[in-house]
Amino acid sequence: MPFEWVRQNDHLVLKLSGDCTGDEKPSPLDGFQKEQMDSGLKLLIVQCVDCGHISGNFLRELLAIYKRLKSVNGQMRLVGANESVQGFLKTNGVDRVLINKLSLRGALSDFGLVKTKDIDVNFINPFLNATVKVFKIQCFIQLKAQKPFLKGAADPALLGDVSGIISITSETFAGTLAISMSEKIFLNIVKNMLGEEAPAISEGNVDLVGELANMILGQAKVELGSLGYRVEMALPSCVWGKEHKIKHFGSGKCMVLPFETEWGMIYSEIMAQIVATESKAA
Amino acid sequence: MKPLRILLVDDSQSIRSLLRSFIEDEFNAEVYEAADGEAAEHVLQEQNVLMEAIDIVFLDWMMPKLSGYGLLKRIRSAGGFFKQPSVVMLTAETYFDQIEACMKFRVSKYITKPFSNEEIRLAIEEILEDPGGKRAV
Repeated sequence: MPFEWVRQNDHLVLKLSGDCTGDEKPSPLDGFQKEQMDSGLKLLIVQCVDCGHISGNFLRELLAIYKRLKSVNGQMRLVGANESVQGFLKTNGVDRVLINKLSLRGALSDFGLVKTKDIDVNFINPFLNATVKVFKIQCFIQLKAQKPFLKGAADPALLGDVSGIISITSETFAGTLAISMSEKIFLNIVKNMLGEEAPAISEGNVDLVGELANMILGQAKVELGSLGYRVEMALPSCVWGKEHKIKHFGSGKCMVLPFETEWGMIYSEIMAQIVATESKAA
Repeated sequence: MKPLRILLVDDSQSIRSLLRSFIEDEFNAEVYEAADGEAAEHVLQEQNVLMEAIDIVFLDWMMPKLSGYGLLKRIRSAGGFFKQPSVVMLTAETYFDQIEACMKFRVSKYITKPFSNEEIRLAIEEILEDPGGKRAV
């Protein structure tokens, strides 16, 4: 069977896998009617991450479910449909009805089932783990994590002499990741990684801190994915100089993750503001 | 004997330096560098014209002007006179669908950052053993 029904507290999930032909018995519509009748739930997520292809018959089934949901003021979202499935929806002129979201979080946000204000504390671990991993593998430095703290996004002062900054975008939040450290630590990293004794931060080596921010976000997004966030990356940038400042993108809260090294502290700053999502009735 | 020619494409000079230093020490290769996809495409085409084609490209994904993925597609769509290099993606992009997308364009290896020298060594050795091969991540 290329699909199964999963009942959550506040929504139903139809998990698709492989190729969905529409010839399955019981049909998706029959399954939905039973699930909906038993649970009374009116919100449906069609999880498409493991689905390769859907046929015209299967699409008809989905549209019949959509009509049924519409009649009870319910909503439906697809999550993680591949290019082929999205193209098929578009070709059939139903892509604005069967709306696909990149992440589960995006779909739940449309349903109003996720908090839309403060920073999600679940962000901490992915960034913490990613920072430790990147410094261990790439810089041969073992970091010791300290207690995270909050600072206002309006506070522009970074805590180190040199910082790598990268913007974070996703369906549900936007923000900035900055990694900041003293010149002494940075020069030790340059020495560890490139085998060079650099006398100072310079145009020739400062890109390294941006690259570290890039790697941290790359690693963190794997773990963020398991929390239902899909994150897109951008080009990093670097700033340096005593008492340099940053204007975080947005105005949410800024979380600082401090890490201890043998040469002093490294700080990971994450400013992530939940963005409003479209809340169209499906 | 024909020297091994490797092109490092990454907008981070530090990453290119790190790779160059390791590859030159370990493989006695001729190493070329480019900071974005467009510059890399120029190097690839020029080396081809000079009959000194690049054998292996280490390719970052996120770069200005032309991304690594964009360059990969251009490389694989080139035919005729153009000698196809082996490509190793070396990137902080970690989503499975991104890896899968690259694999469609005959990527020999997909290495995620942070990376170790050992991963670089293995990638080159495996390509040298089987230049036309396509391996898992």
